Amino acid sequence: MSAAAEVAALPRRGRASPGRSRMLFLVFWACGGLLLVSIVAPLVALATLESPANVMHVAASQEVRAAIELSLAAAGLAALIAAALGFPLAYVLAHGDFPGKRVVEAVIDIPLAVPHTVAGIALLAVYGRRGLFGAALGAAFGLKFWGTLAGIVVGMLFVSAPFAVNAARIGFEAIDPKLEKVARTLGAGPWTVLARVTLPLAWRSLLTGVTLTFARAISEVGAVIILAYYPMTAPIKIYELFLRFGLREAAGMALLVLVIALGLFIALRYLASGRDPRAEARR
Amino acid sequence: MSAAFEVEDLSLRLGGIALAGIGLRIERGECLVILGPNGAGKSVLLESIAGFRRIETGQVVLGGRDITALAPERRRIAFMFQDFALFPHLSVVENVCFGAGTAGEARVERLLGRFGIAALRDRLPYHLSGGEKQRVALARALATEPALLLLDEPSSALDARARDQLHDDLRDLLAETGVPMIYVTHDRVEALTLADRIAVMRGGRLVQQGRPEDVIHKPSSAFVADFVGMETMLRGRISSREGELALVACGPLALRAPAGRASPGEEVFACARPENVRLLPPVAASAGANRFAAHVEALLDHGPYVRVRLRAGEQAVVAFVPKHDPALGALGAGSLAQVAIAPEHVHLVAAS
Repeated sequence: MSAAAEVAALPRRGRASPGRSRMLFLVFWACGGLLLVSIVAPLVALATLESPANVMHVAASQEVRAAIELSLAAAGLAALIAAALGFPLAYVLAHGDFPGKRVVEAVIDIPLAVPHTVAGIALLAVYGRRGLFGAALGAAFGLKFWGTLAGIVVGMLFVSAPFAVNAARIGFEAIDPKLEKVARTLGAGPWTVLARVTLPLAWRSLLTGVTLTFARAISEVGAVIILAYYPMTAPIKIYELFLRFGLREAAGMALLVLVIALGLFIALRYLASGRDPRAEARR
Repeated sequence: MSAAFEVEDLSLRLGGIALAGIGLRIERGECLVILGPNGAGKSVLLESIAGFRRIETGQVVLGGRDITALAPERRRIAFMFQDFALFPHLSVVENVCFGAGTAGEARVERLLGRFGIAALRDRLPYHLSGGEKQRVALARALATEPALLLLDEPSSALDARARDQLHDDLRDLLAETGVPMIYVTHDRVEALTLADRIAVMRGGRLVQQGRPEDVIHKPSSAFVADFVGMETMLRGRISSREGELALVACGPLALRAPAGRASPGEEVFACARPENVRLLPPVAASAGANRFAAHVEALLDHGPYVRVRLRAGEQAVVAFVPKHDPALGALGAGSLAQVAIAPEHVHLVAAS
């Protein structure tokens, strides 16, 4: 038998990848699998807990609808503001060094480390009527943050902004600086380079940033509940239903919110996936 | 008359690299090759010429215009990077069009034809071979009608055939368009192939500039000699002068060489290019001028010739022996050979 024929005669799995340890991968898959199950199982259980009829019944409630719409609007606004302020910061961080860069990076990640009720109280200190921003914005635009949409957005923004900055930064950093340089030598000014090279190459990361920010914002309770118990966002409304009427009422709305939030999340993830031209550029 | 491109007394400091007192002059239709080892500051120099680095002193003048303070996009200097830096999200034609604008459409079509890439026009760079990428990058650079073309080791990402193609393309372009070029490399063979003039760079300074034959055959220092391929460098001391010739004592060996400005007592390296080192059968009779015995250490096949490494006492000698040379038959590791270097092929550089 020729050598090639001998190789071909080996069982498939035996010649799959000689460099890969099967035992190690088995153990690691077992660990990772447990984690995956612990994420998916509760969501599946929630879906089976409720009948579609009950979900429709809950969805018909004006209060429930208002809470969900408020959540969507506030999270959308928070994501937009985080993008508008965070993407430029991400660009600056990705393009070179400056004194205090480490400090700026640490500051961006602070919201991830602060308990969110603490964040809510801290926010109240600056956005409250006598707070620094609260007083100024109140005087200038009549904006109030206590029990308003603006308050909800501020709470969501605080806890979700790091996701916008970090995702965008990864995207900007992945762009070969030579591409931006060569564009300059071809006659494009800095803003043109941004529009024709940087943004087209980074848009998937930017969209991922928006997605993560939105997802984090819509799921926020701790910071929001301190600034605005009323008007109620969806998670807070679910909590209220749970306290007042128990599990059955709350679960109906929970499933409804889950379907909407997860649907949006999956749709945005799908948009940001696909073949990345930058990956193609790597030989 | 002013040169097409001129750099005067350029210096800058950047991290571990400091450029100092750089002066360059290039005429239309000329290719200047900047030759130097890694870390010499070659790329930093190109980037400062292109306008990406703020220089501390000096002037950059292109076509009689001082461009020292201009942004890169206003300099009319095209740049070709090592890996060509094609825009991965744009097709071939979109890449070439990038700097040409709508007014340059005819020019773009002509360049696509000129470089034989018209058939690839709708491909993304990912699907191109190294040689194709190189031609797209060159077409893209020329589409802006630059007044100067900078090339940063573009051949290092190419296989031998694409590399030859690049060299042909560049020489043709010089003849066709006259656009002056600065080409950075650490490969001396490539420097010889392309250069009208060579500037050797070391530690942020230009240590020698001149026509290729001068730099290659008359290096001004031991560093340049070593870098341009003077593979035999015998250390010695000048014992006397006889008119135009100097007598150099390299340990037990004695060599004659054009004296230049060397004076007796000076420590020197007597250098020779391997193609000028001849190997003769070890016959005792003719132990005359510039001949000495050496032991063969190793033979390496280099295609049209064999690279022979020898040792004469403390001194290392390298010779290229053509494949058809009958002397080759007598050579083998450990065998004895007689080395002969004509005096006019020995070049002296100071040893300090």
